[in-house]
Amino acid sequence: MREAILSTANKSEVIIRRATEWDITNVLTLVALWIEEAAHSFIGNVCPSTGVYAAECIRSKLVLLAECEKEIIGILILKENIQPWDENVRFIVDEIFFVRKEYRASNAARLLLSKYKQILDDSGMSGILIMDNGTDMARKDKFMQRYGFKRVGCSYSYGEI
Amino acid sequence: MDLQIRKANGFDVNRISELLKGWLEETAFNYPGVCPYSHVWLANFIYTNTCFVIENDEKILGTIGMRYGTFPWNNEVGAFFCDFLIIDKVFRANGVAARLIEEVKKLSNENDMPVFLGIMTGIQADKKDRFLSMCGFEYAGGNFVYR
Repeated sequence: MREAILSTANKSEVIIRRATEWDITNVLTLVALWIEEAAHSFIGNVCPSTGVYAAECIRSKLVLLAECEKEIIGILILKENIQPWDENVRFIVDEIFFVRKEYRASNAARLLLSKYKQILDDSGMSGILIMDNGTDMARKDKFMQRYGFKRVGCSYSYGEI
Repeated sequence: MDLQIRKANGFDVNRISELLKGWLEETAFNYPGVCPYSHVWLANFIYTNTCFVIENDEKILGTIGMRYGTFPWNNEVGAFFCDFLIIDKVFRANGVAARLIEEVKKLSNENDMPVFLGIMTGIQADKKDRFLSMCGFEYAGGNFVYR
């Protein structure tokens, strides 16, 4: 089922929908762009298992896509996890959150986050967003907090491959 | 203070569980508390991963749990992911955390693997930022919660 949020703020409408099996190429393309942009060389690159990852994510129905004029411009890959020390508590964490550079001034990121919050509200679960690709961090910090996410710490890396 | 680091074993589960409980009480985020399953998870974690404890006079003051894994989108690149780093409140500012971090860096260098470490407590973020930067860690981005 197509779930859409229409943005009337821009001239071009941005639609948020869940990815389907037909979107695997789009998902892979955006994952590759996200990896390319990451500041850490060790985050890896697209490899044969990335296709399996994309297909499994789509199957879990927790991949949100932002679409503008039939082009996929943003992605939010979510995953349902259990709290390690309490198997009865579940939460939804982001794995990849990315909007194409040329569309960062649009409201695609905001709409993706709104849909994420709606999923959390509907499910009653907590959400965790981990920004760990090491780019544009100050802007992302401000952005997340403006849209109702509470900053509880940071991620750090050490060493190289 | 004479600090000794060693790998954790099954006999340490209760003390690590106590540390986890203290950490959960301190955090600004509403995490679920320690439950009977927590011991199963900890025992399993100690057995299958790399968990260090730091002690003074046979009392465990802190612990760090490192899990080797690959990235979801790439199973060819490995790294160590820190699942927990907890220091007993009473023994902070005694170089306890620094010693544990040194051990993690050693593990990273010996295995030629990067380390990812996430802070999710919501308290003393600036202090932790400074500390990890001083230890040679690079800031990779913020962590956020909703609800």
